[in-house]
Amino acid sequence: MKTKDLELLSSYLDGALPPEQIARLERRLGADPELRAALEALQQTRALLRRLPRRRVPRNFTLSPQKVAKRPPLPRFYPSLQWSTALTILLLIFSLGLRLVSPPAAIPSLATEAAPALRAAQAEATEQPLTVMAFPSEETPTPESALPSIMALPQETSQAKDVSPSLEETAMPAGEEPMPSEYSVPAESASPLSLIWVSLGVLALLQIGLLFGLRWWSAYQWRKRL
Amino acid sequence: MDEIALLSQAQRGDLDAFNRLVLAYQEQLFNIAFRILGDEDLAADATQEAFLHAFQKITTFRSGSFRAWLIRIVTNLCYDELRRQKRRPQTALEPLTADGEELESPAWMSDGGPSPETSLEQKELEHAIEHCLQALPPPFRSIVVLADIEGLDYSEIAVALRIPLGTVKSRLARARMRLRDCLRQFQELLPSIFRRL
Repeated sequence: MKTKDLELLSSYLDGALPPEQIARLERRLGADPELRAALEALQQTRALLRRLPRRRVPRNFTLSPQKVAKRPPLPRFYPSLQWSTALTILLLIFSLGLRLVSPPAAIPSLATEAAPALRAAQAEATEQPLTVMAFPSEETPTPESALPSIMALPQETSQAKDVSPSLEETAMPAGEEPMPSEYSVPAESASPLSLIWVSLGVLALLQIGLLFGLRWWSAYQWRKRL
Repeated sequence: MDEIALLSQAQRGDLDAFNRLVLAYQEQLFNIAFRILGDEDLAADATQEAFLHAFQKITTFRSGSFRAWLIRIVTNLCYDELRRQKRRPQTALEPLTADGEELESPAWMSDGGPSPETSLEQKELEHAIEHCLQALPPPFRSIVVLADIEGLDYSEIAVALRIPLGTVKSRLARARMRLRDCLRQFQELLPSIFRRL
């Protein structure tokens, strides 16, 4: 017996076949004793199942307030709110993670690019006073007096590197536009991100608060009704 | 019983209204659970849990057949129970009678069917049918229970079990055929009109 025929017979038995299929199947049933026997077997099986007595319930399954008091019914949109809170928190974590990964790569590259130019500017700025200090009265410098000034150069520049932003500003000629500081770039690019973090954080807090509030309100209403 | 009005009240948290729905459907849900699980105590637990679950989630019910929605909950709970049993199979080593006495020739030691000496009483026939039902895989069993024992139509079964109509038809046909094959070994228990199965 083909599965397709079996399905046809089963549906025929339940009156779930369209009229044209019923006519076709009835023609086949008239001519095919095997098909008729299968239909009879299905019919008898179904009749046996329908004869099964119904069991009486051992007890009533009605709910008592105590049984359901622990879990008051929550508003219909509560699950959606839970999902959206989870999404907000995930977004917040994701953006914080991005911040942790990308800026350390961006800042050193800016710093290394800026370093040679900065050092040159600092050297210019430090050489000038040193020359003055080294040759204050156009006297021929003695090796002893020159030595400290030469030795002082790297020390001075290394100090200058440490305080480079302030030196850079002081080395600038008066009246000129201040050069844009490379260190201000990450700070500027971070501000929109910070705004996003703050917004996401506030949103997450609001949603969490709302979730707790709804739970409390449902429990309160529930207790009042009981 | 105005089901829509009761549902609406239950959705607003009215437990009395919900309990009236429980009384209307408890017998059907219990019978479905019993035929799927084959155990009265487990069926009672599943039915109770189903109503509790239904009350907790009543606000998520929007439209359609409330009965199909309840049946979906109870069948899912029955599937959970069957999965639990599969993970932790439990067979009593010493089956006892209702009086607490040990059976001399317990059924679990026989070939799985009732013994040849059994009478043609309705209880024995029911036992044979129950045995064959339990031999079906759960998805087939639940369809036979819903269609042939509970008399649900195909579309309601499709909604209750969340399966396409075509799957309902094909599974039901195959389940009926398997049942017929299984019941053949209990010929002597069948009423005379069914002997030619």
